[in-house]
Amino acid sequence: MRPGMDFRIKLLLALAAGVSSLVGVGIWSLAVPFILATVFLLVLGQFKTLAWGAAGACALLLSVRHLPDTAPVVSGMVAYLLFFSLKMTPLLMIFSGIACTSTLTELFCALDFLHFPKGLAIPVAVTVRFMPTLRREIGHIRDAMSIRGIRVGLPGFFVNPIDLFEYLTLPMLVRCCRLADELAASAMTRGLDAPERLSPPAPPLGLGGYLWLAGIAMAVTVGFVPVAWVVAR
Amino acid sequence: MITLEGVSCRLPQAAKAALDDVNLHVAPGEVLVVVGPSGGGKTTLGGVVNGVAAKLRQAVVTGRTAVAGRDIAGLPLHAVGRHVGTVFQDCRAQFFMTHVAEELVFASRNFGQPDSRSLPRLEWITRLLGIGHLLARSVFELSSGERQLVAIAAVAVHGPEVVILDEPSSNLDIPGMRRLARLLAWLRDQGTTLLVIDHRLHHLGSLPDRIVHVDAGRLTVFTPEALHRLDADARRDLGLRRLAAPAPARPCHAPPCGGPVRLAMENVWFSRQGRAVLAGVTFEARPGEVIALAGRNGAGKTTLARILCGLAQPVRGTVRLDGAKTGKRTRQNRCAFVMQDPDYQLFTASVRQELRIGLGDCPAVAARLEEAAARLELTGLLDRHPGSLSMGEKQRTLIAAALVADRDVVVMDEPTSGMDGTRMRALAELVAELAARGRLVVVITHDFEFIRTACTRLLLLAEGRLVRDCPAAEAVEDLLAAGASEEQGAYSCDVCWT
Repeated sequence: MRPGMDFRIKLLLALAAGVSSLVGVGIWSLAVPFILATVFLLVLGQFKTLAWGAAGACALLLSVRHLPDTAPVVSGMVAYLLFFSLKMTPLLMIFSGIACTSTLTELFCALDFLHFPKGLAIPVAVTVRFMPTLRREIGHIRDAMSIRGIRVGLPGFFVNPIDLFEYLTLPMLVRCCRLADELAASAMTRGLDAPERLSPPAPPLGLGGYLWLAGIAMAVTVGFVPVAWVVAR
Repeated sequence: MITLEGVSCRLPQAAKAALDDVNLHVAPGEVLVVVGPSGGGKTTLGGVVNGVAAKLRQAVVTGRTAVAGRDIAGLPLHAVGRHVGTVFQDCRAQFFMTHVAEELVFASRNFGQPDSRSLPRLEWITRLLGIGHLLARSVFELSSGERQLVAIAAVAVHGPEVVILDEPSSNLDIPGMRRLARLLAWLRDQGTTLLVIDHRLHHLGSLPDRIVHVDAGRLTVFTPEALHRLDADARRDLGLRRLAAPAPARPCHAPPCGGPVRLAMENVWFSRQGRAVLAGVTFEARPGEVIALAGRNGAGKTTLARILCGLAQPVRGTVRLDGAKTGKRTRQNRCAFVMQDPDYQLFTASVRQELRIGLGDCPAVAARLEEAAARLELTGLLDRHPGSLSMGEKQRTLIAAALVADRDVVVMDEPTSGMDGTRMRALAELVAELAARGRLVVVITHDFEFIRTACTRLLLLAEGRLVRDCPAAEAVEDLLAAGASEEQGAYSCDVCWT
C-alpha cells in the first residue's frame, strides 16, 4: 500500500534534521539536513515534494544572497526571516514526506513504543489527522469561490485581499467547527480515549532500519564537526 | 435494551426543548425506525441514547436514560460507546483514520479487542456491504456512497448491542441501500437493537418493528401496519416520504417542447490517477429541461458535474454552451453549482451581500435580487447572517444567487439528502420554477422519489459511460428492478456467519 519505512526511523530522521538545522552555524551547516531530507524523499519515491522543496530552497538561498542593503536594519530583518525559512525547509520536506507515506496506526504504534503519554498522543494524532482534511476543505471552498465568480489565486489577492480573506475564512471556520464537532463525537463514541486501547506491536527494525540509524548518526556527527570547531574557537 | 423515562433535552441556546418528556422502551433485537420533519428532534433522540448530547454538545438532559440496563448519566462516552455504536449524519466528517482498513478496526482496537476476534466479523460485514475492494484505499478517495458504507461498517465491527444510524441511506444508490438492508437484517438476527433515523423507508422493507414519529420533541409510535393504513394526506401532514418504492407520478411541469440546444457534451473523457473516470460521454440538453444524473456510487456523476460547471477540464472532448466551444472560465460564469453542503458556498455576513457577490450595484442586479428574494421567500431574511439560516434556507439562498447572477445552467449535487417529504416537495416546485424560467437544471441524485416528482429526463452513468438517456418517468421502475436483480446476482452469499 505504501513504501515501507519504520515510523520510528522517520521520527528520528525528522528529529536529527531539525536539530542539525537549528543548531548549525552558517549556510554550510544546512547541508546535512538537506542531504537527509533528499535521501529520505528519494527512498520514499516522493519526487514531487523533493522538487518543490529544492525549488523553494534555491529561491530562498538566492533571495538571501542578493538582498539589497540600502536599508541595513530592514535588510537584516528580512535576511534573518529568509534564512530561518531556509532552515525550516528540510524539516517541512521531511514532514510532508512522512504525512504522505504514513498511516495513523503507524503513528499510534510509534508513540506507544516511545511510551508517549496518552494525553499527548491523542492531540498529536488529531492534528496529523486534520491536516489532509483541511487541505481538502480549502479545495472545496476554492471551487465554491470560483463558481460564485470570486477570483481566487494571486490575481484575486492583489485586486481585493481583504474580501478574499473574508471569503476564504468564513466558510472555513464554519466547516472546521462542524468537522471538529462531528469528528470528536465519532472518535469518542468509538473509544478513542478508552483505557484499554490495543495497538499492533511495533515490528522489529530489521537491517534497513539499522542502516538508516547508522546513516543518521554519521550525518549528524559530520554536521556537528563545524559547530564544535566554532564553539572551540 | 434502551429505556427513556421522562427524558427532556434542551440544546444550548435553543429557545425550546428538542425533546419533551419522552418515554420509550426498546427491546433487545428490536428495529426502531425514527421519522419526522427536519429539526423535529430525531437526531437529538439518537444523541440522548449515545450520550453525545449531554457529554459533548452541552445539552441539558433530564430524566432517566438507560442502555443495556445501565444508567448512562454517570458513564464516560467511551463506556457508552462500547454498547452503543453510532453512524453520524455527516459521513464525511467521521473518519478518524486515513485508510479504510484502519478505520474499520479503529473501534475494536480502542475497546481492547484483539484483531483475531474482530477480523472475521470485519470480513463478513465488508462482504455483506460489498466494500472488500476498498480496504486498501484512502478514505479521502472514496465516493460519497462508499464513504457511507465504510462509516456503517466501522461502527458495526466491534459488535455493539445497540446501533444508531442517522440518515444511513442518504448517499446510497439502490444496490447500496439493499446491501445496507442486508446488513441491518443480519445485525437484527444477531440480537442487535437498531435505531434507524431516516426519511426514506422503502429500502428497509419489512425490517422495522415499530416506527416512531418525532415532531417538536414529542414522540408518536406507530406499527408499520398502522403507518401503511394512513392515507396520503395524513402522511403528507406528518412530513413523510413514500413508504414503498416510488410509484408512477407525473412530473410537476410540462416537458420542454424542443428549442435550441443549450448544452452539448461531445465525447468527453476524464481520467484520474491513470483511471478513466469519464469515457466518451456525449449528450445534448435544452433550456427548460430538468435532468437527473444518476448511477452507481463512483460512476462519475460528480466529475461530470464539475466539468459542466468549469471546475475541471476534460482531457478529451468538447463542452459547448449555445453552440460555442467553452473553456473553464466561461462555464464558471454561466453555470451555478449548488453543492451538497451549502456551508462551503456562503461567504459573507448577510444574505443580501451573498446574493450580490461579484455582481456590483447596478439597478438591474438590484431588481433581480428583489425579485429572486421574493420568489424564494428570502425577503425577510436579507439582512440575516447566512450562518444562522436553516439548511433549506441556505439552499434557497444559493438558488436565488443563481437567479440573480442570471446563470443559464443550475447544477445541484444531492439536494434532497436528509430532506423530509415536505421539504423535498418544496424543492421540486422550486426546480420546476427554475425550468419554467428557461434554465437548464441538472440534478445529481439517487432519490428516485425526487426524480419522479421533479425531473423530465434521466441520464444514467455506469463506469464513466452514459448507458441510458430517457424520460425520467419511464426509467425508475426499470432501475429499481435492475438494482434488485444485480444485488441478488452479485451478493448471493454461499457462506454463513457462525
